[in-house]
Amino acid sequence: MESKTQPLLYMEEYKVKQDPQDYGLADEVFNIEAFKNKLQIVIVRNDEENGLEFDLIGVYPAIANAFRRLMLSEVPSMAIEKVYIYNNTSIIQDEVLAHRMGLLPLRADPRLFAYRTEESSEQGTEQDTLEYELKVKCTRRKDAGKDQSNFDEIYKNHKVYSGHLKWLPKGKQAQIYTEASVGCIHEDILISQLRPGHELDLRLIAVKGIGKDHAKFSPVCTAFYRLLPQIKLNREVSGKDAYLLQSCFSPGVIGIDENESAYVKDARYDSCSRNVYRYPQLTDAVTMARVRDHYIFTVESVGALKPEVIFLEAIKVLKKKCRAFIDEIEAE
Amino acid sequence: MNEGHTLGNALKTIIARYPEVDFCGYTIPHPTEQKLHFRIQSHRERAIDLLKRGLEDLESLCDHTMDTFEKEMNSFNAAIAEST
Repeated sequence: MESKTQPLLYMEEYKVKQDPQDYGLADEVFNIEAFKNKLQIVIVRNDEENGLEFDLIGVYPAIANAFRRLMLSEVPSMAIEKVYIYNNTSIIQDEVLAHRMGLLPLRADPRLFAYRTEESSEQGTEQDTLEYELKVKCTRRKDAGKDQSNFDEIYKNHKVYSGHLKWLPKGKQAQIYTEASVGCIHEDILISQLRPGHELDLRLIAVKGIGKDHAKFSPVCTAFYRLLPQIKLNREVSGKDAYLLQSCFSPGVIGIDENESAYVKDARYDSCSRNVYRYPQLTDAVTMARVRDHYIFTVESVGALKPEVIFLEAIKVLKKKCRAFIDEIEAE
Repeated sequence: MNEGHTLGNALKTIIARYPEVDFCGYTIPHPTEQKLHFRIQSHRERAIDLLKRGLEDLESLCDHTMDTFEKEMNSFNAAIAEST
């Protein structure tokens, strides 16, 4: 895309200014074919650690925001909803413990399960429920010497981790799933600490739900977007000022060439802070802007679904909503 | 309607941009009630037809976004597979 056709929002010292030539947001007529021509998606990176980053170019803010909201609160995932406490003699209270259990991320693929309905029995069925148990008892190690002070050496099971959770297959579930495909994503989440004589005996029921109901059902750690920054240098900045300019932006945004003069290396990851405007000698040197319809989405998954799957699921949810209303209108 | 800002605002921006529409807006009368009021005003067409058209446009917008995203994802994965 040429930079001339990009609609910009200028970030001046004390205000955000629209481009005087840009009337797009207010007067544009919606036409689905025009939208299809304008829409561009560019995948930037996708890795386990940092999640998925992609550019969504040429959409309205409401559409981008709808996708974000859907990913956060309407894409389903599985989480522990009921905790039956048969025994809890640890110092952590029942209700706090139950809440902690609910927040454990599960690997189970929510697409393979159904929502629990009013009719399904208290126990649930194998299509809509996963069961786990947590049975841990802390004891003193007999072989530990008197002068030992390290808890790991004197106590057994004094730290309860999510890895202690055991899956109890319901009905035919054992043929379809394995412990690895429905269990906890992380083995090393500390649930509670025990002392000799303390005991936990819990049965946990996981169901499918959405983030709107409770944040534990949200499939993403974060899902956010920002507008693509654009930085232009209006004049040559060199010498000491070049380094000052560099320090005003995020690392890697401003480069300095062999003649000690500054240039814009990569504006993409700028934090868009207006630090430059603090220095009178630099204020006239830069024009900061953001591209109005260029959204940089970052989606980090909790781990059950891949981020790209979450985004696609979010769109499907929106589509289903539309379909439901269209059907309702047509039925009349 | 059991809906919120997610659908309401997306639909509003689309319907408000039709040249036939005089006014389009939505409101959530009370934040704790799952209720959304949607208003479309037009002097040329029936509001219900415009609502239907809006929903259909939003649906095909979703379809197109999904297709584009899947296509990009495939070519991205192919590029990664090639480089390793």
